[in-house]
Amino acid sequence: MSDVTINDQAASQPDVESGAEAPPILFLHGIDRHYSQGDVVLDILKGAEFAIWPGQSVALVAPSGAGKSTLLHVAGLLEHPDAGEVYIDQVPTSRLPDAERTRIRRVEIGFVYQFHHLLMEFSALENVVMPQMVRGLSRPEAVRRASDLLGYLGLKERLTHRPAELSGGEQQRVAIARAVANAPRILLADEPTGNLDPRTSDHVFSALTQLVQASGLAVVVATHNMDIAGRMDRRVTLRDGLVIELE
Amino acid sequence: MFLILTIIVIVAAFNITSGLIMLVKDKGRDIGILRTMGVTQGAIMRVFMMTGASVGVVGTLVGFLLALLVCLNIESIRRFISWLTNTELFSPELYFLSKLPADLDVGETTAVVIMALALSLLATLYPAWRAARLDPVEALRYE
Repeated sequence: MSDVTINDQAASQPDVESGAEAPPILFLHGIDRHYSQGDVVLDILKGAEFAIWPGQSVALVAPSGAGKSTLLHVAGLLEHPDAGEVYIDQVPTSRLPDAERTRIRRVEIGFVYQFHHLLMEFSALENVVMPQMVRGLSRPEAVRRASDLLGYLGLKERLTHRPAELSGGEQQRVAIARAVANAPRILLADEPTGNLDPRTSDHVFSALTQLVQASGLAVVVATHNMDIAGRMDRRVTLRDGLVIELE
Repeated sequence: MFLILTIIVIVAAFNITSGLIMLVKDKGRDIGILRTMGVTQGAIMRVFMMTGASVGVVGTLVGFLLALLVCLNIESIRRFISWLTNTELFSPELYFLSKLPADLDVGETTAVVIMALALSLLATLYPAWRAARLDPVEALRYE
């Protein structure tokens, strides 16, 4: 397995699927991110470059503490990089006001976490309805879409159940439904199957793959699971603060 | 009277503030989730301001109605308590009062109601601001 840095290939990779020169939907350019712990400065990302195109799935495989979550948070506009630029559909976002970054997050980006992070007081259906209503959809329309989505993920009988009444795999499928409810173009998943047994993990990943194929969104999955990583279009890792392409 | 009531309402308003600060702490994870969903800082602030303000509005309304009820029926209440305890409350021989005085001043009542509403709204500002400023990454990191 040879490693290739992706610094040079970033901005306009040919879209293999369509054969056209498509711009990346997400492009991280020269990202620096460090944290200070007392006198110690931890350089997590040092000039990281990363790009992903619509319809592509990328596995981010790296040991704990390498900066996977940081990279996803920067890509998802939840953290500001110390240097560099995050382009979402070619729009530079680093200097945008918080309201505009939030709007982009609402419309373009979905998140799935290792721990489902569902709202415990609400049912599965309401958890999926909420982001749509935040976006401005009417309640009946949001309920209809959420029901369809949860049905598609095999949770038709669980619509009114609260997260505490669902199994780990079901909770994670609701979290996936919530993440894609607003039809984002980028899905960022931080170890979405890390808390599940291998069989459930396989079910959840299959559900995720199904959605990706059906919607053509770009998905980045941080994972330790090499089997899951092997089923994705590309695999990258983090080394010395840089994103390295694995071939 | 207005000053005394203002001080009492300020104490009550601090209860709204401390209650909301606890609520923000308790709901940190949910705030983080909503922020990742794309809920704006302004919307988070409005949620907590509405929560605190609703406590203030309901409290002021209930307080106003109770005070009105007591004020208009003060003499009946005195007689009832006297009958219940079998003692003479505010005896006319001692207090030189034929009945308990309760003067309902419309201007002062309106001022106190407005002041209570304004203070309860003010009391929500700091906790709501803290909720809005919560870093979603930090809120979700240690869950």
